[in-house]
This record gives sequence, C-alpha cells and structure tokens, in this order.
Amino acid sequence: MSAGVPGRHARRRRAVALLLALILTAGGCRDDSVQARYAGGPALDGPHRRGGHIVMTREDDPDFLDPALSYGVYSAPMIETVFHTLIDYRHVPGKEGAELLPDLADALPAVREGGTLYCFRISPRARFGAPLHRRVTAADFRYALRRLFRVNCPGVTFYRHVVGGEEMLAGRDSSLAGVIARGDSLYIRLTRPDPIFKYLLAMSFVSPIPEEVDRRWPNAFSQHTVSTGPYQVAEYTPRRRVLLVRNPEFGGTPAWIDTIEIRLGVTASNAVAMVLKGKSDGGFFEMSAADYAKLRRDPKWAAQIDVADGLNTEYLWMNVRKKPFNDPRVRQAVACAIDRRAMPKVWSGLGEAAGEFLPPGMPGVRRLGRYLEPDTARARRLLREAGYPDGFSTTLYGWLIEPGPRELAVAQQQLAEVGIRARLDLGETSGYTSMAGDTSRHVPFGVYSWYADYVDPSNFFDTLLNGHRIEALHNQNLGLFDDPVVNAEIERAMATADDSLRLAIYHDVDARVMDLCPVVPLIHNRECRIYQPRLGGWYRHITRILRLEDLYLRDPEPPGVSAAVRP
Amino acid sequence: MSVLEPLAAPPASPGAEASAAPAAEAGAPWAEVLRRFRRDRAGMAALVVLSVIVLAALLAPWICSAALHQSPYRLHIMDRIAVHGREVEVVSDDGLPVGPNPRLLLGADLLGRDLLSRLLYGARFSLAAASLGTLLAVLVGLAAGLIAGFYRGLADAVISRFVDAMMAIPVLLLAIALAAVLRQGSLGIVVLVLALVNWTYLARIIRAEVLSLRGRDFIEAARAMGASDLAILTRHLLPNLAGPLIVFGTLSVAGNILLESALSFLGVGIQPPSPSWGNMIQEGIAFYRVAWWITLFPGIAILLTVVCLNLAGEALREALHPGARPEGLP
Repeated sequence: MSAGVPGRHARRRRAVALLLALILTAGGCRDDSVQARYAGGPALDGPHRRGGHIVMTREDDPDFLDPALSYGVYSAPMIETVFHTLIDYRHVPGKEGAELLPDLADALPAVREGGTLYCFRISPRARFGAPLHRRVTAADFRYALRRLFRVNCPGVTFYRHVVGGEEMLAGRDSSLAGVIARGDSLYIRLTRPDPIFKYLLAMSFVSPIPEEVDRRWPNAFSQHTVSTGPYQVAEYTPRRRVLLVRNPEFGGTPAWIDTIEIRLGVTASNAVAMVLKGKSDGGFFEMSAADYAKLRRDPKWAAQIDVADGLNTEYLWMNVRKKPFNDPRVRQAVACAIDRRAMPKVWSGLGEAAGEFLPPGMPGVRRLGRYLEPDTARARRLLREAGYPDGFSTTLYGWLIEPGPRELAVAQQQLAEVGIRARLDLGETSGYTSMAGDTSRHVPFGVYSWYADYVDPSNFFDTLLNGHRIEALHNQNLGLFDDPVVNAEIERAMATADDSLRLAIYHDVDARVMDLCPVVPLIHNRECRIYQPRLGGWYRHITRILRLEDLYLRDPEPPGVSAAVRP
Repeated sequence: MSVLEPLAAPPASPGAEASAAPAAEAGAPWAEVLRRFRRDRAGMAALVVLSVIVLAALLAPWICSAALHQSPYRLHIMDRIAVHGREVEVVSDDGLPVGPNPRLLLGADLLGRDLLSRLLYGARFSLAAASLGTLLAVLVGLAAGLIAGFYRGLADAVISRFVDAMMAIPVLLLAIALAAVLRQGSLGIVVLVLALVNWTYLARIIRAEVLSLRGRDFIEAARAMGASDLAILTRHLLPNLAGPLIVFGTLSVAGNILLESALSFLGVGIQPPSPSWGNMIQEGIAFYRVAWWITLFPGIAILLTVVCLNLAGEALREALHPGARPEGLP
C-alpha cells in the first residue's frame, strides 16, 4: 500500500469529520467547515507526531514566490502551502481529491444570476501571517485579482471572463469592475456562465495580496511574502535553500512538521541518491524510469516509491494544414500503425497505453480504448486510399529527454512498417516546444505531453484542440486542428453547468478527436517519487502534486535515517 | 618536432635519379620496418585483434543476416523468445530487456534489439568515423604543415597562429560546439568534426618536419636542378613524411574512436537508431545496474580497439625509428 493511501481507520475518522462538517455548514457554523477539512489529516497511517524538521530537494530555484507569477510545476507545492486562497481541494489522494472545499472563504460560493455571479464571504479565521498579523478582507482578494492583469500573470487569461477582464487585458481599463468587495463579502461577476470558474478560483493566482506590502515593495513581493497558509517563508537564498516554518497565524489545523528545508540545485538523480543515503526526506522531482526499474526491486525502497496518476497524455500531433497530414486518412493510418502497448515498456511500466485523449484519471472520464493494437493492413489501405500507396517521408520532431528518443524510435519503426519514413529530429525540450508553438515554422509532425492544470477536460480539449485558441506564438494547438464541430462542442461543454452532461459532451468530443486523429495518444504517464520511510502523509494530490502541510514524521522514526537531515 | 628521421639517407650527389625521394626508391628500408614490427609481439597481437575487429565490422551485414539472423535496427520490444525451453519477453512489462542467452548472445537492448548485431554495426560506424576523420585530418594537416614549413613567412605565421588558436580550445568543447553548429547526426558530420579538431596536431608535426628537411642537401640539390616547388613538395618532401603520417594516423584513429564515442555519448555524434559504441553506452548507462550488458560490451569493444590501436601504433613507431626507444626499455 502506498503511503499516500489512507488506512481504514483514518478513512472512517475523516468520513465522520466530513459529515460533521457538512451538518455544521448547513447549520450556519462557518468556521468548522474549515476546521473539519484537516481533521485527522489525509493519510495518518501509523503513529505520528507533531513537530520536527525535514529536508526536501529541488533542482531549480522556485520561479517566483509570488502567487500571481509562479506557474512552475515544482514551485507549486511551496506556493500552495504558503498562499492559500478562497477554495481548496480536498486533502486526499485519488479522484476524491478533486472535490472542492472552502478555504479562506467560509463556504463554497453561492452562484447566482444564471452562473454569472460568484458570492463569497471571507472566513474570520483567514489571517495574514508575519509581518502583518491582520485579517484577510475581501479587498485583499480584489487587489490580488486586479494585480493579475498588471503583473503579466501567466494564467491571467483564465480570468478574462470576469467583467472588465477583457478590457484590462486590452489595456483599456484598470478597475476590473466585475470584482466587488464589501467588508467580508466578495462578489465576482462574469460576462458569461463558466462552470469551471470555481476551479480557477482554487488556483494560487487568486491568493490574497496585501496592498500595503505590494505598494511598499513594488514588483518585489517574492522577497516580501506574507503568508495565508500553514507555512511561511523564513529564508530564501537563491541556488541554496528555501526554509519554510509553520505560520502561527494560520486559522486551520496547523501543519504537522515545524520546519521544512528545501535544498536547491539538486538534480533528480542526485536527489534520489540523497534519499537513499538518508540525506534528504524526499523532494520535488520525479525518479527516472531507470531508477524506478532499479529500486522497485529493492525490498526496502519499493514501499517508499509513490507511483501516481499524473493526469497526463503524451501524444503525437500532426499539422493538419500541411500535406500529407491534411488528409484524415493519413492521420488515421498513423494511428493504426502505432502499437501503443509498447509505450509502457519504454517508460519502465510507468504509464498506460493511451486509447483516448483524456487521461482516465480525470474524474468522470470513460476510457475509449481506441487503436490500442496496431492494424498495419488497415494503415496501408488508408494510405493507398489517400494517394500514398508507397507511403511518404516526413520528419518527426521531439525532445532528447529520456525516454523520449526511445519512444520515438519505437514509433519510427512502427510507422516504417506501413511505409511512413519518419526521420527523427530531436532537440532540447524548451527549444523544441518554442519551435513547435510558432505557427510560422510549419512543423509537420511531433510529440507533446500535457499534464492537467486543473481537473476538467476543458484543460485538455480547449487548450490543445480548440481551433479558436490557435495563436501565432506560444501556440498549444500544435497541429493547428480547427474542426468546427469539435470547437462548438468544446465551447458548449464549457458553458454546461451540469457535470454529467458536460462530461458526456467531452466523451463525444474525445471520440470525434480519435476519429479525426489530429493527435495520436501514446501513453498516459504516471509520476514516480521516492521518500524516506520516516515520512508519512506523502501522496500525489490530483492537482497539487504534494501537500507539504499533510506531511508528518512517524513516531517512533524507523531506523536508518541519517543525522544529516536533522536541524 | 617529430622524432622521426628521413626513411633513407639522401643521395650523395644531386642528379636525375636523386629527384626521386630516397624512401620511395628504396624497398629495403620498408622490409626492415616490417621485420622490426614483426619482432614486437604485443604489436603483432594487437594487429591480429584489430584485423578481427575490422573484419567483423566489414562483414557485419553478412554475419547479422546469415549467422545471427538478427538486425541491428529491428525492435523486438513486443516479441517473445524461447530461452532454455521457457518463453520470455524480449523486453519485460517494466522495460527490462533480456540478458545474454543462447538466442541473443549478448542480450538485448532497451528496445529489444540484438546487442551483438548492434555491436558489429557499431564497429562499422565507430571505425568508419574514426578512420575517415583521421584521413581527412591527415589531408588538411599535411597540406597546412607543408605550406607553413616550406614557404615560411606570412603563410607560416598565419597558419601557425591559427593552429595555436585552435589548439587553445579544449578538444571536446570544440567538437561539441562544431557538432552543434553543423547539426548533429550523420556520419559525414561526425567525420568532419573529428577532422576539424585533429588536423592542427598533424599540421604542427609536419611543419616542424618540413622545417628540418627543407635545408637538407637533397632538397638543395633538387632546387639547384631547377625542380619546381610542387615537385619538391610532392616528390622529395612528401615521401620523407610517410613515417610521421603513419604513426600519427594510427594513434589518431584510437583517439578519434574515443572522441566519437564521447560525442555520441553526449548526444551530438552518430544519432540513433544508427548504432555506435558511444551511443550504445549512452543508451544503457542509466540502466547499468539492472541491464549491465548494454553498457559493458560496447565498453569492452572501445577499450579493446583503442588499446590495440595504441599498441600497434607504438610498435609501428618503434619499427620506423628504433633509436627513439628510451634507454632501459626492452
């Protein structure tokens, strides 16, 4: 059993706590809804203690310590534990973690006026930590939302449907009229109903920012953070370390561990070695397929490897505006030629063959299981019908990060068997993605991988396959797929409040995408991390990756931990 | 300055016969070189091993298809084979390839390809890259060294300063930069990169050798007889440079095998799926604890080839110039 999976006892305690929370919420006792979320912790699977110090590792410095600017995958665990916001996800592993709960708001928003008005009341427990030590107000959220449009927030377009958002994006306004703050009440008005807006409000981008601090140190909030979460930043020395200490002002259940030191500049392979030598407790990195293959056979460490669904799809994309991929039969031939069952082997078992575009870990998603086995006869027939009886030559672009080259070598051979002669052109990831996202480069054929930003299929379909989202630069719809039916259905789903109906629409979109084959899904990857036996509460949250406030030290600690990790 | 002397003494008096290079006209010195080489047991053993490696590389297509019934490119990631009466996956579900066994003598790589076939084809790529790179370096280095040493003056200054500048850059760094600029991948590019980083060494050796030869009597005699510069360069100087060229070439091939392997290991040399010993090691290095055979066998191949080339090169140097052997050595 993975350390992230709660025991039966813990589950019962949490269920009781959740039931209690629901009853109290219904009765109007707002504070306890926040309290109940933490009751029992997410994964207390043994004797534990409060307090202690742990060492984590990370390769790069955090991109920012400003919630409006940070968008790095592995900056997120730090940002999300320091900066809480109106809504949070439930602290449990698996799909249940997609459930939204109030955080700094005292309840989930009341959605009025046909889904265009979100009404919050800020919890009296919501407080800023040092050096402010004051209550968080609705005005702090309003300031934070306006600030997103000022500071070039990488996720600002998520909030373009807030009334005034488009004007702010265009530089015609600075007031963001759709956000109204009256005392503890916060109102957010949208230009149109947006069922996934509640998920956007759970992102750290909308964490409250104290105006007095931001104005005193303009453009330097990363150096003057003010916490609203269970931890605060005590020290940040670039390229050396980040030290998080418990925030005494946090209104919810305090974090278990007193201090978390994050050592920077540690590569993934070195990070694994540090864990194995007892010099760190874990970190913000993924183990390589090679390390996984080696350590999963180790009786001590096999139990310390956390393999989790990363809500990911890795896929081949084809430029549908260029010959020969402008013919759907050619794209279908590509889909028929590739044996996806080989892909999990390439990834050392860390993934599932993809027969659909949406990752099956996405709540409510049903698998399609298309093209899982190769059908070379059909592929050849489709190529003949499309006018390519002898196949054709093309270039398949990708990245050099392992096992990317091996993955594409498999695809290359399988394509060659039906007559598609693909030359591999592999490069550094950032260079490749920049090139592929530049429509003027007319890249014909490539590979891409997408991890969910939030738990809704729109994050895959709208971002990656909606023709209305094609941009000249930094384009994510790499194949320039622009099918009116798919576009309309994506947008219809995005405006549908009923979850089951929305998911049904997305299921149909997935089926049509698999028919038209602008993309050929290869694998839904799993993530793989390793941590010390003394550490409990480790699980991959469906969107949050790792929740630092849920980590705790076992009591007594298992033997074999080096003194190096002690403060 | 090369340790090598002219292969034969220059003629005593300039004449029509003297216009031919001394080494070229004499068969006896080469026979003597061969005799001395044969006496070097290590050198002979190395030559035999090298011959086997080269032969295996040349016959790789036939060995793979007729004897091994394998292809170095064919992926067997989804296949199963019978080993000791038991059916096993060539690559297991968790991505580990089958090790050495009677069906696949050196085991399989991470994509289920036969490692022995790839090793043989890798020898073709590695040896071809190293040999052709050396050949090109010899041509460029020889021309530059001859011009600099013979004409001296401005030509010498320009060429020598350029060579100095090139040699100030670390070889591997220069090779990586060139490979990146020239776009990675093909054998031709790797050959070009190897030649570009190596010609400078030979140019320096040849220049020094030419400087010592150009004042010798047989050159003066040829000049007095009215021989043109081209004739002196090609008919008098060139034959006397055969020794340094052969020794440099032999030792340089060994160095180029290592450099090509390093480039391929770093991802800027021969590109997969074409096998080279360097990229084979690179492909398996992360898995060395659970699939050791992927890195071990190409590593042995590189080691064996380089050691043999160095031994053979040393033996050749000794055979060409026995006086250079330091005192006290057997």
